[in-house]
Amino acid sequence: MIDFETELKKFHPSPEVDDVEDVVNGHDLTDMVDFIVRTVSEAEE
Amino acid sequence: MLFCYSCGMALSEKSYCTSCGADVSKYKKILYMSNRYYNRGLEKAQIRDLTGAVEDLRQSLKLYKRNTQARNLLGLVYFEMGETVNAMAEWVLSAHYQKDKNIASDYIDTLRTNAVLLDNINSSIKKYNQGLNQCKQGNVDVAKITLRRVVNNNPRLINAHLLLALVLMKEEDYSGAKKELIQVRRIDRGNITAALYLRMAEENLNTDSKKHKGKEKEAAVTIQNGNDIIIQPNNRKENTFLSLFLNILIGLVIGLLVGWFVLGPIRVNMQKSDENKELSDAYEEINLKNTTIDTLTQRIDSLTTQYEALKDQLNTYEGTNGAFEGYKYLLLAVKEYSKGETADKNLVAQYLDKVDENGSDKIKEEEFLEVYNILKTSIGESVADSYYENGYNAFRQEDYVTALENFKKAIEYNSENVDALYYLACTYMANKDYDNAKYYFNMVINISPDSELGNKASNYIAEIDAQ
Repeated sequence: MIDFETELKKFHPSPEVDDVEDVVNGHDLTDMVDFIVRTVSEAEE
Repeated sequence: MLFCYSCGMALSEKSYCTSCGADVSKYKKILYMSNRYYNRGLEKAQIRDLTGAVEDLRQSLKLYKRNTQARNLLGLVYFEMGETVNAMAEWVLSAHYQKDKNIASDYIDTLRTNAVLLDNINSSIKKYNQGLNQCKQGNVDVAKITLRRVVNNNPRLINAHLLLALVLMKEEDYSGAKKELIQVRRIDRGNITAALYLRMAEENLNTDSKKHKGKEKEAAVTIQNGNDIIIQPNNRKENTFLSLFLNILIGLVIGLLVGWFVLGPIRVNMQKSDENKELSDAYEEINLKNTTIDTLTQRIDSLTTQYEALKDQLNTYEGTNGAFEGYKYLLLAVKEYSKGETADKNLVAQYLDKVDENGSDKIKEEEFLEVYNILKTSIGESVADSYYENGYNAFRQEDYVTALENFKKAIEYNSENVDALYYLACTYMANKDYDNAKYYFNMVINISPDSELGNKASNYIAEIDAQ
C-alpha cells in the first residue's frame, strides 16, 4: 500500500523560469575527462 | 573527430597525441562510453522511455560534459516531461560549450520569443508548486483542484499528473488516479513512479470489484436438501394476496394489450378485405351503368340527328310558317274566284294576301304556283283599282301611311297603273323620301311621257333636282 506522506516527500518543487541561472550554476559540471586530466597532471607533478 | 584534452589538436588512431604526446587511450574510452550512453538514451527516447533516456543521457554527460548531442537531447526529453527549466538549463550549457552550429541556441530563442508559451509554462509550474505546498500542508481538497488546473493547462507536466494521482488515491478515487497515470504513461512509458502507482490503483480497483461481487453472492442463500443444493435469493418475497391480485391484474392488462395489438390488426384487415370486395362490386356496377348510359346517350344523339334531319325535310315541305296554310288560302281564293261574276274579287285578293303572308315563295309545286299567278293576274286590274281608290282617299286625308300601303298593293296587282304610280310618288314626296319619289315619277314618265301626269312628273323631278 502506498503511504501518502512518504510518497509526498519524493516530490520537490519544480524550478521556475526565473531560476534558470541558478539551475545552470547548480550543475556539477565535473566529468570523467576532467578527473582524468587532473589525475594525469597530478601524476606528472 | 576527437581532440586532445591537453593541447586541443586532432587525435589520430594512436593511443597518444601525436602533437603533445599525452596518453589519450583512457580519454578515448571515456568518449566512446559517453557516445554509447547517448545512443542508448536516444533509443529509449524514441520508444518514449523518457525516464530511462534521462538516466542514460545524464550518464553520458557525466562521462563527457561536452557531448553536445547528448545534452541537447536531454534538454528535449526534459521539455517533453514538462520540466522546461531543466531543459533550458541543458540547452544553455550546450550553447556555452559549443557556440557555433548548435541547435540548442534555436531552442532557447524559440522559447524566448514565444512569450505566451513561456508564460503559460511558468504559470503551470508555479501552480504545481502551489499544489505541492497545499498537499504538504494537508489541504488535499484544494490541492486536487489546483493540480487539475495545472494538468489541464500543461498536460505534459508529469510531476503534476503523478501528484494528482497520489492525491486521488489518498481519497480512494482509484479510477480517477488510473486515468492520470495512463496519461503519464502515454508521455513517459518508463516512469517507475507511474508504474508503481498504476499497479496500486489497479489492485485497489480489483479489490473493490471483488467486494462488489461478494456482496452480490451474499444476496443468495444456499440450502442443502439431501443431495440437492437449493439456491434461494435473499431478497425473494413471499406471495401475498395483494401481490397475487396485482400479478393477475398485470396479466389481464398484458392479455388485453396483446389482443388489441395482435388481433386488432387482423380484424381490421378482414374488415378492410370485406370493404374492398364491396367497393369492387360497386365499381363494377358503376362501370356497367356507365356503359349503359353511354349506349343510351349514343342512341339519343342518333335519334336527335334523325329528328333534325326529318325536321329539315319537313321544313322543305312546310316552310317555317307552314306552307300548308298558304295552300289553304290559295284554295279559298280559287273557290271564291270560281263563283264567276258574283265572286268578290277583293276577297280573292285578301286570300291571296294570306297566301303571301304564309310565304307564296314557299309553294314548291309548279301547278299551285301557276294557279296563284293566274288568279293574281285575273283579279289584278280590278283589285289594283280598288287599292288605288283606297289609297287616293287616304292621300286626300293626308293619311300617307295607309295611302302608301294601298298604292303599293295597287302597283303589285297592276304595275302599269299610272295613277297609282304617280300618287305613290307624290306620297313619297309628302314623306320627303325624294329618291323613291323620283324613282316612281320616272316610271310614270316612262309609261306615259306625254300625258298630263307625265308632264307633272317631269316638273316634280325638276324640282327635286333643283333642291
